[in-house]
Amino acid sequence: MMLPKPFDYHRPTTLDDALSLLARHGDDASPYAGGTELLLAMKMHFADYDHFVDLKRITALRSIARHGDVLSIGALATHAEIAADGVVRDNLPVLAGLCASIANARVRATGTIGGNLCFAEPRADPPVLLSALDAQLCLRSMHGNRWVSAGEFVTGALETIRAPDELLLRIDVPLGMGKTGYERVVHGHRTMAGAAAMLGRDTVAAPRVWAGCVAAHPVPLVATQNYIAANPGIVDDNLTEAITADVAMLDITDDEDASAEYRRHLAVTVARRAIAAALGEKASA
Amino acid sequence: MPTSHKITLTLNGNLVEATVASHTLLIDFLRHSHALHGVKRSCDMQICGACTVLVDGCPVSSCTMLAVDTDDAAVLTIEGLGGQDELDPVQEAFLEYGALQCGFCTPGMILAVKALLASNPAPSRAQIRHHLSGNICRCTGYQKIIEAVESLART
Repeated sequence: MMLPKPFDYHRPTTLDDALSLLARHGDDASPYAGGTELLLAMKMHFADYDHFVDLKRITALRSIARHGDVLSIGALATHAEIAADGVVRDNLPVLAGLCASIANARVRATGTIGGNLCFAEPRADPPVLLSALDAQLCLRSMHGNRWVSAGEFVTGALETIRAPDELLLRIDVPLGMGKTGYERVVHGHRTMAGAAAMLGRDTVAAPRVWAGCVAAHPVPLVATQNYIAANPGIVDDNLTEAITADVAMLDITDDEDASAEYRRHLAVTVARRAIAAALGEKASA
Repeated sequence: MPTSHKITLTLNGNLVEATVASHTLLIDFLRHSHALHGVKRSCDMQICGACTVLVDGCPVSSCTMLAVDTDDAAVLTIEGLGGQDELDPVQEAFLEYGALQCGFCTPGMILAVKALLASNPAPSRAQIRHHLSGNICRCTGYQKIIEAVESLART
C-alpha cells in the first residue's frame, strides 16, 4: 500500500490567492489539480511537497473558447472536457481525438491538460501534439505574464521552464495553420512512441513534425521538416530516410518497456503515419 | 504543518460531515471511516479500476484522489446503488449475464458502466470496450461484461 507523506492543503478561490501561496512557499509547494500524476508521485515518494495549492475552485482556469483564429484552452480543462467540447471537436479534432483516448476514463475525468504539460512525464502525448501545433502557453506569477511556446516548455524528464511561483493559465492554439495528424503506439496504457505533424497550407506555415514519448521530451524532426518543405505532399522512401536520420539523433535508451532499437523503429513508424494522416493518406505499414 | 479540514459531502445519498487530514486518500476515507469495503484497493496506480467510485457522476480512482477533494461533492460507491430490496439495473444485468466470477473488479466495473450509460445511453460495442478498457478483470471474463452492458444500451 502506498500512502503520501503528510502535507498541508490550501484551496484558494482566486488566482491572486493561488499565486501568493506559491510565492510564499516556493519549492515546497506544488500546484494541485487532477492529481493523476502528482498524487501518484507523492505516494511513491518520488515527489515530496509540504504544500498543495489546489486550483480546482478557480473556475476561470477551466474555460475553453475560440477567439478569432486562436483556440484558448484553460489549463484546468480535463481531458474528458476537451474531448467532449464542441468548439474543440469542430476546430481541432486532432486534439479532441487524442484527449478522448488518453489513459483511461478515470484519468480523463480528473486529469487536466495543464497538469499534463507541467508534470512533463516523458510518455505524455499532449506536449508532443501541442508542440507541433505551435501552441503558446501563458504563465503567470505575481510579477506578471509571460508567453512560452509549447515546444520550449518541456526541458527534460519531469522538467519544464515553469518557475515554482508560476502558474500555467492557458494554452492558445493557432487554428487554420495546416492539416494535422497525431499517431502513436500504446502498450498497456503507456505510449511507446508518438508523433505529430502539422503540414502548412501552401506556404503559409513551414511544416512541423515532432516526435515524443521516446526521449526525455518532445523534439522537432528537422531533416523531416526540410524534406517535406522541399517535397510537399510526397510520402516516399526518401521521407522515411529523413525521419530515420532524425530519429537516429534522438537520445533514446533501453527501458523496462522496450529496447532503444525497437523504440526507434516505432518512432519512425508513427512519424510516417502522422505525416500521412495529416495528408489524408493511409500510411503503408 | 499538515492540516485537517472539515468537509461536507453527499455519500451514497446521505449528507456526511467529516474532518479529514490533508493527505487522507479518498479510498481510505471510504473504507476506514465509513466501512465501504466494496471500494477495492488493488494496483494503487489508477490502472486497474477496482477502486472506482463516482464523484459528481464522474468515474474516479479513489486511490488517487484526496478525501478533501470531495468537499461539496456527491460520492457514490457500490453500496449506494439500488435500494433495500432491489438491485440497480446494471447489477441486474451483471447477474443475468453472469458478468462476474471472483467479483473483485465488479464494484468498479458496475460504477464505470453507470458513468458510461449516464453520458451515453446507447453505447456501441466499440464504445463500451473503449470505456471499460481501464477496468481490469483478472478472471478475464470480459465477454460477459460487454454483453451485459450491451443489454442495457437503449436502442
